[in-house]
Amino acid sequence: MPTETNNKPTAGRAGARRREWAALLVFFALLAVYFWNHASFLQGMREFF
Amino acid sequence: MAWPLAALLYASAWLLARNRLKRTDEALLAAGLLACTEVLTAITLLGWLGLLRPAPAIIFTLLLAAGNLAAALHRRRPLRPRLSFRRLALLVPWPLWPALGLAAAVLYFRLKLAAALPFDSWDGLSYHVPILWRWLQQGNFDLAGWVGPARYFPWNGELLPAWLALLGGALDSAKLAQALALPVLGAAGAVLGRRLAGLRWAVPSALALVCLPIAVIHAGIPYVDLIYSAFWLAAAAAALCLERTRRPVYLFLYAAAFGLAAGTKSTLYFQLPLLLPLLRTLYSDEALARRALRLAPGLLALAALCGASSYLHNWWTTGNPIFPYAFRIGVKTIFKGVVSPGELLVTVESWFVSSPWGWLWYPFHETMKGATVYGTENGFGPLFAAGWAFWPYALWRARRARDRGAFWFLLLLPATAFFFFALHPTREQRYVIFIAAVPILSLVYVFRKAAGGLRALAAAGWTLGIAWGLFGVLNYAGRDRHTVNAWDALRGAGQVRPFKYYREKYGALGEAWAALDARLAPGDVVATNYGELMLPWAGVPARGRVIVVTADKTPYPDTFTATDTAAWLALLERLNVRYFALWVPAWYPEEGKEERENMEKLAGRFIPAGNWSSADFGKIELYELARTAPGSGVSPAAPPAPAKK
Repeated sequence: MPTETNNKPTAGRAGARRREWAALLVFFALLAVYFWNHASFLQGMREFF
Repeated sequence: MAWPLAALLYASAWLLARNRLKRTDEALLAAGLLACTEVLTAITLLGWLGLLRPAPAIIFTLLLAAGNLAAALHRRRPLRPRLSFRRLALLVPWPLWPALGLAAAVLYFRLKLAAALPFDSWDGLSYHVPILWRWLQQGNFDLAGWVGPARYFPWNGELLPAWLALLGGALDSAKLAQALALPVLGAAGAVLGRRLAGLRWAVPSALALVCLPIAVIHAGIPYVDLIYSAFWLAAAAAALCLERTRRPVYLFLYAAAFGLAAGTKSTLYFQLPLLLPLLRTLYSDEALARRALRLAPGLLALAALCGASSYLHNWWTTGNPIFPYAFRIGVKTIFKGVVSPGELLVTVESWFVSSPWGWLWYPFHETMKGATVYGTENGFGPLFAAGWAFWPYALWRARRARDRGAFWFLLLLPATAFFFFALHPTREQRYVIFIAAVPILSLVYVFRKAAGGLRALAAAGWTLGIAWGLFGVLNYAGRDRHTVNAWDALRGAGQVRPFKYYREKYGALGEAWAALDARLAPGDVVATNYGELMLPWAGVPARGRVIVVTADKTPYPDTFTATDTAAWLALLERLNVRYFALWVPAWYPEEGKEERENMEKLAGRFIPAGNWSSADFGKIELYELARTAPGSGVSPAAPPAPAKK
């Protein structure tokens, strides 16, 4: 039967938690790379203040 | 009056939609599609009847709203406000609140500034708004004599602003027409987020899409890409809902959204990927497929109602629904046209990347012409960049979880990329704004089971990503001196001087527009040899009639063209042209050569009214036509007749 999110349990909740924390770290690392590359945005927006 | 009436129609459509769809996000999405379908049908009808006037548009809108309300009350579902602090905390995690506040502030800034500025943007000034202005002046859709392909483009993206302009009683009311797409975009984001990752991710997904930097920028310019993207994503959301629930009501939402998108832009190949999730669902469910087959005539009729009118019009007038493009399969020509899509290949890709492979890492450093900046052509933001890297992982997770809906939704990214590289002539992000949703929802899918501190941290990252994207929007505005000056004027004097803005941005061209505006009387006909950026020749506020009359050959039929000197002058006189603007753009130095030769032969008929030049925009000369005899020419109130070529 189709479900709303189809969140079927996968092998081991502890393993899943570890993967989620790792994903979160990678997420923040990617954001940091983006912010670093686009730091000049702060300069341009200062024109309005 | 335009926006309150638009809100009234949307609210009435929502009350009607929630009778069939229990979930608020889905009812909001259906309401947006229903309201747009109703408006487009009404305005199309008014245009064909020659009734594009404020009173019929307002009456039609009120009747539609009343009809929706009556139908909603007929099968009433009680309004039960279910908002509580607990529910609110579930919907909007506390780390996301700053993003909500910042989004409201930046959207307010963007829309307030855009509303105060004169009409701006390249394609907006070149054809989106000039077409609209001509419709409003005439009261119908006649574009006879129009030089260029825009006359044949799908027109949903012009019909919606025409509706706003009619409701508001002024062309200026159409300035923010693309903001109409934001509720549909947000609702599509909420539906996708919820169906992929549960209720907790509905609001973050909606917010991420509405705050997409390029979406915020486009909300303030008269383009159609944002409207197209909202409908595209609505179709993707309906396909996912169908996969999850197997309810035929989503087939109707899909058909409406698909048709609305097709009626907005003729990039039909970008809509082919949308068929994949739908067909996969029907393939896996025989009963649903049989039901869909039975409903097919109704679904096709709905899609046609939402988006086929411009194609049918082209078919009727030129014998080719996608005119001016030729359509060939192998060596066989199915539809004759005057241009092949391949001929339009524009090398704008080099503004962003040095080779097609550069798109792989472009999301992590978004530049245009070497500068790190968002604009009307680019700006997908940090969440897209992170999601871009996460997409393969999300696809793998969806495959492992045997989550067919998520898997086929995520596959929309490579399927669209294929057509972007294989067929699309102009590779820039604005043509595929919709695709930004797939990587962003990949992130949502990866974090769908996050709870507690992990979820709070993910939401905090979400807030940072949204905030940085919005900073980029402010940077986009802050980099241009003319925009900063306009904002200062708006804060100080409460208004922006339009020609000061145009002069600062468009140099010599802005000077010429200002000089003409000082002379222009309502109803004066202004002709120019070159149609780009033509709207300001109608004055600010718009009051003149602007047409392109060329002495050069054009491949388009039924244009204001005359290659012979006497015929060219006769054409100008027949069209009652009072001013002629000869523009030699810096990028086309040969432009205007034939018209100049004609004017030299007709010395005395063209009285110079000024000339200007700048390195960026080229040379502009303004002339007033000397009258030969009073009463010559057609009335400016009547639509000018075309010269058959």
